[in-house]
Amino acid sequence: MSKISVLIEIADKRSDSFAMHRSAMSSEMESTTQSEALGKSLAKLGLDIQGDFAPVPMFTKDSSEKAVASLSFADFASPTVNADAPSDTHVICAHIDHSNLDKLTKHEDVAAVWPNAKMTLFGNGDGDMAPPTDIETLFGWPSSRGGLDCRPFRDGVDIATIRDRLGVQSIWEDGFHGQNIVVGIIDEGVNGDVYPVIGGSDLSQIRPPGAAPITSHGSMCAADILVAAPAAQLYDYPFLGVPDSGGMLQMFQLVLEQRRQDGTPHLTNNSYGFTGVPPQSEAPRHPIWDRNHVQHRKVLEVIASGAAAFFAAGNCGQECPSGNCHSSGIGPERSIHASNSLDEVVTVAAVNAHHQRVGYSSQGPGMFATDKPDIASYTHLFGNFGPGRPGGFAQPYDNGTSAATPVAAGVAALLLCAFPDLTAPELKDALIAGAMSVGPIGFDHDHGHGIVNAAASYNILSNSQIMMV
Amino acid sequence: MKKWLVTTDAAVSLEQLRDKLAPLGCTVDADYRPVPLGETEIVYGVLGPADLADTLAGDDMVTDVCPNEEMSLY
Repeated sequence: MSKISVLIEIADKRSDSFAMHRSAMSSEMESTTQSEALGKSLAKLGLDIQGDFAPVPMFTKDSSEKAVASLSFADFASPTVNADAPSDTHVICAHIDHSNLDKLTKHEDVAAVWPNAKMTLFGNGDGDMAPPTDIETLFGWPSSRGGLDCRPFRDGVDIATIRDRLGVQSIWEDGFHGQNIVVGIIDEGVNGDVYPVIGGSDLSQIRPPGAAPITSHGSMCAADILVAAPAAQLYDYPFLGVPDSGGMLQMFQLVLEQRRQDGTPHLTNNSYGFTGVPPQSEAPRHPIWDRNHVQHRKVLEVIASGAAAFFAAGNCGQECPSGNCHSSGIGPERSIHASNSLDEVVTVAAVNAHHQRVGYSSQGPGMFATDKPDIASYTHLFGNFGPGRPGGFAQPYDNGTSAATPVAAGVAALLLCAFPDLTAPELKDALIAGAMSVGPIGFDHDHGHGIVNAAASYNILSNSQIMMV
Repeated sequence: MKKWLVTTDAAVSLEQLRDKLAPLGCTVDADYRPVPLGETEIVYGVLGPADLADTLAGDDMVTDVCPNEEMSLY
């Protein structure tokens, strides 16, 4: 007589069902031991128990709505580890002679018996053609697996690609382009002939707002803000000479003074910071070590006034750090620091348009707030630099976490345009809530909470407004 | 000489600060526009010796001495 393969559901109350199954899945010996123990009372029926089938716990008595509703598995939706759960039965797999099937079904320890029916993978049967394997080619969207981009970096992309990735089109169709939002750029100066500079620092007659060359770092930041928010306006706060704590202190004071006058700028972009970490024993008052340093206190004053502050994570990631980085400040735990690592700011890491982290993007934990960076955003785009762009080929494309940060700030400007009453913390929360995870689900120290996505954040805010109404 | 950011009570005048710091070999940076901090303090740019923070620790006129550190564009 030929034997048939069956699934046998055996009464077996357990409180550690998940642990038991995980144990069986990790060891065929354990799987066999469990299966044989469960089928022990059925030995006289000539069962050929399949030891490589890990017994599966069952938590419902049947498929009725009532049985399913009685489960407490709704808690599994939360991103935390839940307690194990009690099961009533376990399913094992065995081969049995057809003539013994009736006895098996009626056995007092057996809750049910089902055929272990064979299934087929659906396909067209054409195995000759090698299909493409690149997710981006196949589905028109980069793989959510993430990855790494190191020297030589992949080519830059145009701003249409970045806008597509950010999902700004649907927000524009609702009439929001960043109009009536002013972003303060604290940097080396912006070219006001090309970019919409309407104010800023009055500290220097030599470098008034908008007087910087088109190839300036600040002009790159300006271009990248306009990627998502093309109707936003800009204030230019140029450092006078080399950026330093004192200059930063002055620029943030000017921002605070402007906000006192008329509530602008609505947010600031800060694509600068330190590139090395001095020993704490030698420099305990350095802004990297001293959270009470006046530069941090002034940043917090500005945020308290309602203006979110976007800071670049830095370019000292482990895999291919910038040549400017000192060895003391490269890699996890050492490359996001000073104001850029304050809990209250939005710290931005960098990915390319293919959702690969660029290997120079600094990595958390931050040296003040450990859960840094907050989000990732796009770099290596033809914004100010590149073919047909205002800055020409002085650089191959906009680059660094310096470029990723204003792209994210532009998204923030777009959201503020649509939801002008958002506070700085609410704006940050919305960006995090809409961020798209790459690699492991949830927060990680390479990408933060994920890659910024304007459409998702906009929809979350829209829905929350509807809920409030 | 090292760059410092020296915080005083807002009631302290620039002249008082200069008089205080000059004997220590410091100069208040005339090109640095003083920055108010909160409602009661003001920050001056100062050039001074590397041990200035230690020298002024506990001083009744100066409330804080922070290094003015250089940064880089990312």
